[in-house]
Amino acid sequence: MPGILLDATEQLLNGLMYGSLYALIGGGFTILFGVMRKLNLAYGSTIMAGAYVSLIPFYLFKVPAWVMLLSSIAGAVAVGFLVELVCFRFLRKGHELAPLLTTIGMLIVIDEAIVHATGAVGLDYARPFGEESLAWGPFLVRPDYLAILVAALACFSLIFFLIHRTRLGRAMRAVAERPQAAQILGVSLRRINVLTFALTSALAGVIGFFAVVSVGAARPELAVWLTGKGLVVTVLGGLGSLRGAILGGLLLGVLEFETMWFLGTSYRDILAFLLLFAILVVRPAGLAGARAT
Amino acid sequence: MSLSAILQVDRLSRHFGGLVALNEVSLEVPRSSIFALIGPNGSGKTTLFNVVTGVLPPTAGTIAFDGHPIAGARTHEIVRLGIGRTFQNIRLFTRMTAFDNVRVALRRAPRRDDGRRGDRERVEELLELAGLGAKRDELVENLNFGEQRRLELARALATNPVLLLLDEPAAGMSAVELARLTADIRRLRQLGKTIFLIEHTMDLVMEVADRIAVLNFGEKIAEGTPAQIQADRKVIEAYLGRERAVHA
Amino acid sequence: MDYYVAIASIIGIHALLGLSVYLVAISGQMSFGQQGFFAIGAYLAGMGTALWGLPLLPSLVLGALFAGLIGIVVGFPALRVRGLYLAIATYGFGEVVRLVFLNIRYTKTIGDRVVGPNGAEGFRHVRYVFDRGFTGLQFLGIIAAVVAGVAVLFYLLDRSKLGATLRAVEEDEVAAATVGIDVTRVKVLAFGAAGAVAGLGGGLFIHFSSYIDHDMVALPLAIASITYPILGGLGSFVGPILGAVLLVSLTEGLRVLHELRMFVYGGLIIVTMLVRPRGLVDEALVLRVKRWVRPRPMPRGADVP
Repeated sequence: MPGILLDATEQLLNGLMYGSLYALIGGGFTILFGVMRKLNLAYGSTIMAGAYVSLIPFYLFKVPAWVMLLSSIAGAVAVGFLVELVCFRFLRKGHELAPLLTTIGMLIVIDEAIVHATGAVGLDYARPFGEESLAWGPFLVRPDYLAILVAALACFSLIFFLIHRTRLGRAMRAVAERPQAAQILGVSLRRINVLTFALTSALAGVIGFFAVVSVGAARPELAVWLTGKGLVVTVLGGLGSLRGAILGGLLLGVLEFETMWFLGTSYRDILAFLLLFAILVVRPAGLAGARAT
Repeated sequence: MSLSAILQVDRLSRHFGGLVALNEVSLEVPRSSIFALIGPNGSGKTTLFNVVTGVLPPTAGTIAFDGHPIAGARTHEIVRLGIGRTFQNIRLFTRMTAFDNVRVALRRAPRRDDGRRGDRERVEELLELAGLGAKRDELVENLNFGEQRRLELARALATNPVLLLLDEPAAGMSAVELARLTADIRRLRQLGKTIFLIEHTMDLVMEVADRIAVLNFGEKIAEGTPAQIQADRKVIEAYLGRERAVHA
Repeated sequence: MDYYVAIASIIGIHALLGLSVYLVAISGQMSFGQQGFFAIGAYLAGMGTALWGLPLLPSLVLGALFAGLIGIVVGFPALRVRGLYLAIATYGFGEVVRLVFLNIRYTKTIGDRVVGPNGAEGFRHVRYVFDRGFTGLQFLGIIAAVVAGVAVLFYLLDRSKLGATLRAVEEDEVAAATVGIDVTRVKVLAFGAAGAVAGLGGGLFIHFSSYIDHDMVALPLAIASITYPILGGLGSFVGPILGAVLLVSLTEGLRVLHELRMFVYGGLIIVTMLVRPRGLVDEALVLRVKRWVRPRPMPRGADVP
């Protein structure tokens, strides 16, 4: 293959792998939005909170990676519970954007808590997948990117299984489509909301672990960065469509990596937001054309 | 196509995906008349109003107001041509006072004798006519139901309409309020305005309407004078159902 | 003394930013991107005085006008989205502006300095005010005059039919259109005017501090800019000004709170949403104040029930 095509394909692969992380973030946003009709902008900080919590056993006991993953999940679920309590349970109807703004408030508060607890510097994270890139034919593959892909596949399989094959999943889908009807049929909205929150928070823990592994250090700014990516992906895919979020995440990943390679890193983040702006304006329903609320 | 019609609706259709809300409805509203649109719930009456006022675009058909085609035009342009409207569930600006609600609707207050435009006077005049003079600085949420209905009408009148579309203005009214509404409608007609109203309260309809059209499932099934409509078999069926019609 | 002058200057500048968010908010569009217009105004005004040798006032006007123009341009696509989506889109716009300024390079060598927007370094050496010997107090006077002028305009707006029209559009666009309001025009104009106000604030800022960089117009400024009207209140132009006064004095004035200022902003947003969603100076309060200031004469006759 000619050089430039080789490069482009390698970046395509990188983009697809890393993009699956974006897809996971988008998935978290989308599932919550689908069931609760609200965007949880504190999700990015929930993700980071999980990652930071997993640093505690890491620094104290030098635990293996899978323990870190589990503690990340635990931490994220705990923080998610807090977010649910403050932002969604106690809110009155006032401003249309009240839930959104409250979650932004939480994002800031959690972020600041992290900054104050750790000082603003990044904290080195484990690199459980090694530093060496693996060779796959003519391509070099980063092991942590591969791990992300595997994790994403596992998570999405679990999620799809949950949503389409279990009673809980059916209840979630019912609430997502017609909350009043679901209530009449005996589904407890409260219970479903809380369980959905728990699910997406657990997912956040997974995302946090892999995101920080790929960056190499836990930094507080990552929360906002992740939120930005998550928003772009969610909107790209169409708010409310899980398949759309997956597609959106992969697409964003590929576009970013290609842009980074051929145009340099500075354009990468501009691309994400330009894309966001453009999609919202041109096709607010997103790729999958879901809920065009 | 008569020249005395202020509103001509010709084979107007509106589809929502597979749902046919309006199916080739044609009617003409004569100038300075009181024209009533009745029909069972869900027959498309409010949809017709929405299409006429540009809130929804038609799927097919034409609408002419005073000779001008207005199908698909933007709402504020249609309103500025001279159509005013009230809503089935009152849509006032609740965070504003009664005064401001009317004030934002004021298009062009008639020039006073001394040449100055009297915005404030015009608003107060409209509020007085609606019996709301004392409430001009009340927030809408502090007005009672009857007052809110009257305010919405005053607001619609502020746009200097020639044709007024009233969507179930009598819903929820007491006998006293109903009497006042009837008087208001007649007074407006005397001023030369045309009233096109959707109503379920048959007393009001039979009392004031010059002509009535009946919609059922998006189609016009009858049109005529109140007496004709009351005797019309299809209308009775639509409201009461087949079996009842046989016994009627 | 200098310290208080500096705080007052920042209050004034942020008041303009808050007013900018307020203006679009009361037309029903919650914009998370006004900091982008702030940045545009700052860079343009800075280029005016530092690169093109223009005096202060024309540079400020240039910054404001250009920001306003971009506001109108943004206002049109913004029509297509509302609520949540609009919030996201405007944040995206703000980020695009920030990232553009992160990458832009337009410098001249003046004397022994390289002056002009310089990528990640930002735009430094905007020394118009310092080179002419303005004291902090004198520049504060300029800021105060600008804010006062803008406040007067907002006061007139709040009382006028246009102000009520904006609020009508915020509450119910269909009803607004049904009373003859051209909703599109109102919303786009609101965006343009708000952009200009924010741009004015930005222009003042860059001359106050002599520099700006992309980091200063990122998420924290976005949060601050929306907190002013949200906390201060959406009922009147006094709201965002009050919000700016309260928040800036709190966070700049008290050392401890400065460290925790993001907590303060975040926490206050949460509390306000829970307790008083239209902010401190909400519409009900405004009405009560109006009544107290000018009691209505007794009605002439009883209204017919």
